[in-house]
Formats: sequence, C-alpha cells, structure tokens
Amino acid sequence: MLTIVVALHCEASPVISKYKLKKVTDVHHYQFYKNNEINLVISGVGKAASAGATGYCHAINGSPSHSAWLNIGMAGHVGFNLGSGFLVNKIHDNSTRQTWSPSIIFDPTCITDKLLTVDRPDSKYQFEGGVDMEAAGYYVTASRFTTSELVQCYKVVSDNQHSPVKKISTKEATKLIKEKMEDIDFLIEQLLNASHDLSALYESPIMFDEICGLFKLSHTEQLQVKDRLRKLYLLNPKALTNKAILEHQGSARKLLSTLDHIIDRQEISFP
Amino acid sequence: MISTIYIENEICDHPVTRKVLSRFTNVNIIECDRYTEIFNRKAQNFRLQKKNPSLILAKKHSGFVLEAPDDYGIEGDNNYYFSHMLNCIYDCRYCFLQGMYRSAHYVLFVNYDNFTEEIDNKLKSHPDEEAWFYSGYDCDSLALDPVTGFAEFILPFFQSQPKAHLEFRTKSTQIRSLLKSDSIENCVIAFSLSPENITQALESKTPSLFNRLDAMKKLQQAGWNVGIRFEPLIYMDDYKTHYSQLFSTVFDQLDADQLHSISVGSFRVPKGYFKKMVKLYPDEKLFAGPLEESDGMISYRLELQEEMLAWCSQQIADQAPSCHHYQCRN
Repeated sequence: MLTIVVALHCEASPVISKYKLKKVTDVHHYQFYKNNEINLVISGVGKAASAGATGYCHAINGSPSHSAWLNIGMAGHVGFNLGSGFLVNKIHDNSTRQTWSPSIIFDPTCITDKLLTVDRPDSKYQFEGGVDMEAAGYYVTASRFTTSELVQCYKVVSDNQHSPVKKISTKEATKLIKEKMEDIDFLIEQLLNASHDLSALYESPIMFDEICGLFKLSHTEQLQVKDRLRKLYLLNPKALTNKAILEHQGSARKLLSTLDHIIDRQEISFP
Repeated sequence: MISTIYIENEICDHPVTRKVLSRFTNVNIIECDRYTEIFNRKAQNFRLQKKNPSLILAKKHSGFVLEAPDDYGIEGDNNYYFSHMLNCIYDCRYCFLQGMYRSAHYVLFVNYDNFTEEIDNKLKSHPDEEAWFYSGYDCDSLALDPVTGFAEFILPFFQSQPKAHLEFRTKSTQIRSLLKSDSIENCVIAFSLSPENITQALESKTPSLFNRLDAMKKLQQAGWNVGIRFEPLIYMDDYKTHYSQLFSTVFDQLDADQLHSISVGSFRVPKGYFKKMVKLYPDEKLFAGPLEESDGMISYRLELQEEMLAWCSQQIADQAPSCHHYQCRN
C-alpha cells in the first residue's frame, strides 16, 4: 500500500488520472482518492497541513507498518531549471533546525538534492538546494508509522533565482507535474515493490487463525504457536496437512508440546 | 552495484575519498555532516537496504583497534580486531551483522592512517610480546578491496612490524593486490569455507567454493600464508556427508602442509541479534533449526554443537595432521 500526500489538487491531478484514483466521498476533512493499492490525500499548503493530512490518512486507513509514503509537490530551487524534478535526499526544517535523510534503496531516475521546508514563501534563494513548505511536516509524521526506506519525497522546480516565485496558475502546476510522470511512476513502482516485500513478512502462517479459533490462547501463547508453525512450514510444508492432530490437545501447553514434538521429527536439510 | 555514495563533508578532499570516487562513474553523490545521519538511524530496515546498499565514506574518530572477544584468536594473549569498514557486500544469512545494524549500507572509514597509528600504540603497550590483529569482523576484509585499496595500504605497515600478526578474514577472491606484492610472513589470509549446498542456500553473492579454492591456491603458490575457517558449522541431518565432501575437496586441492591454520566454529549469535535476524527473515530455514539459548547466545543444542565440532575436528586432524587446527567458540 502507498499513500501519496500532495498539497494542491492541481499538483495531484496527473497522478489521479494516471492511476485512475476514485474520490472517496465518506472522507470529509480532506479530499481523498484511492484505488486498490494507492491512496492520495490533498493536504493543503504548509507544514502543519501536510503533517495533519499524513496523520489523518494513517488513522483512517489503519496503515500497517509496511505501508509506503510519497510526498509530491512543487519547490523553489537556487539553481535547478524550471520543471526539473528531484528526489529529496535530506530534509531541513527551517524553524526547528531538525534534519532527516530518507534512505534511498533504488537507483533514482532523477537527480537527488536537499530540501529546506519553510513556514512562509521564500524568494531569497539562499539555501543551496530546494525550498518547499510541506516536506518536513509530512516526513516527520510519516516516518513515525513506517521504516525510512518507505518514506520518500519528490519535488518539481516551480521557481528559481532567474524566475522568482510568483502566483503560479493551476494549469501550469498540473503541466509541471505531468511532465515528470515518468519519474513519479518509477518512484511509485519502487515504493510499492518495497512495501509488498515487507508485507509478506507480516503474514501469519497457514492454519494459525484456525488453531487460534480452536484454543483459548493468551497473546504470548499465540506468539509461541505462530513461531512453531513458522518453523514447521519452513522445515516441511507438508508436515501439518491435517489439523485434526491438534484439535484434541486440550490445552495450550499440550498444543505447544505437540508442535515441538512434530518439529523435532522433521528432517533438517539444505538443498 | 553501488549507485549512491554519501560523503562526510570533512573528508571530501581526503586522498582515499578521491581514489575511491575515481572507481565510480554515474553515481549519485550526496554530502552529509556525519555518517550517522544515514547509517543505523532508528526506523531503518536492513532487509530493504540490503537490496541496494549505498556506500558511505566517513572519518572514524575513536575505537580504531579493539580487544578481540575471548577465544577469538589462534594463539597468544594479545588479540585485537579492527574494522576499516562496516557491513559487507555479501549476504550470508547466518551473519550477525544483520542483527547488529539496522542499516545495510557500507561504511568505509577513509582515515586509514589512524588505524596503523593505533595498532602501533597497541604494539608499544606489549613491547616484548607478539600481538594478533584481526581484520574482517564487521566486514569482509577483501571483498571491496579493489575499491578501498586497504590491503595495499596496510600490508607495508605489518611488513615493518614483525611482532604484529595480521589476519585478513574473507570469502572473497579479490586477491590482485596481494598477488602484486611480496608475501609477508606475519600475515595470514583466512578463507571461510562451507559445503557447496550451504554456500548456495545461505551465502548469497559470495564466490563459489571452487573459486575460493582457486584464489587460495594462487596465494599459496605466491608464498602467502593461507588459513581455513570452517565457520560457522551449519547443522543438517546429513552434515557428515556434506562436510566430508567439503574436507575431501579442500585437502585435494590445497597443500595441507603449507596451510597456516585451520579452525572450526559453531553458529553462535547473541540472542538480541538473533531476534532481529528472525524478524527480518522469518522465511529463513536456518532459523527453524535445532537452536537454543544459553547465556544470552543462540546456538545449536549443546550436544549437536559438541558432536559437530568433535567430528569435524577429527576429520581435519586425519586429513591435515601437520596443520595447526583449533576450535573457535566465539
């Protein structure tokens, strides 16, 4: 699962169209779109707004810890050309002086650069990198919910020293993002792949739910059963084809002991 | 392939940094203040990072040479280890580094001079004694050597210090820098070897047994001291068949009389690291084996461990009787 946080609808519309995201009408506090594996929220402008929208999405989706997050938006830049896209390799929060370095675990198709998040629009271009108003709020919130490899931030340059900040039209904003959809598609694919890779680790072993239904197990006992089932299926996926053998154990203690006994009988081999 | 290199600002112009960078084209270079901004932060995932680790060039500030754990060394009382790198390009599923670090990026400390200074200090603290220095605890000693040039740097130092012994622990076949220079009496290149089925199942990205043996033969022929580390011994029901094949192959290929030393050691990992390893790779069969906890360490059940160590030691004693061999229990 991937959640994309975007400040303005005009920046989000190329992504909404490309991934056929449908508006979710029962979410009232933010404009929210989704398909089977991607959520997109329009956060509004500013650090607090992006932090709020990120936290809200996590809450309403119950996002598991293998969910990925991506912030897409526009930024000013001291030297990059208008329309350049860059993956953020370090985020500086101008007001708190905190910094974060997202872990980049793929070969990016675009350049990477640092980004300063400011509270008010900045037209001085003194920071040696990009400048935006959302990334720090988004990042600090999203990275509470998942591992840093799954929290990324991509910016398209909307203004620079030679073409200073001005009121950019919604049409121009959409065009800038649309022209960078190749980079964005790549990031979405990489993040979804990484998220899927982790999600497989959280799956319960086969028969775990059924066994939990048969016995009254404490949390610790559930973890012990899960661990033993995991071992059993790794050693011999066919060792427990019939749950009947476990049904009549009477107690959790006997169940665990039976599982231990079955594990001990399995062959240990490497192909 | 390394696609991103982080460089600490302080060592941007360091000669080793420049030399390392000259080996790469089309890499994404990112400057940072301290490597700890990127390496081993909270909320990082070793498994995800291992898919495409970055290289981090950094300066080490302290702890250059540390005392080796008890029973780590071959001989003598003065055993130390040092790590010019953190993490490894290989992906061995039994490796404790997976549990030790949250990050799989490679950190290379470019201030090599400080390592030799500190080794020199240790030697001065034992003026009339010999001392052993082990490289390859937190990384593979040679795997990235064509990039780091570390062997080329440190070997002349040991050549000038006959009372200091160096062991490079490796699975790598990157031996060009060694073959280019004269062999050094007080240096041993110790190769970790496992049966072919274990190499394939658990030692991802490592050279095959055949290629490692080929590198070892070339080193022996060039006069280098070569050691063998049958570590960690991995239990299988038919371990005797697989290890027997391994020993036959190894002692057929190598001149056992010329070997510097042979060690055997069991699979042992601190409990805390092991828990993290299982969490990262719950789908790994190795972790479903007959393991138990004892004194905060996870290892094979004592009777299995002792049986394997004794059987393998006997096989080695039979096939390489003249070679110094020992059991490593750490």
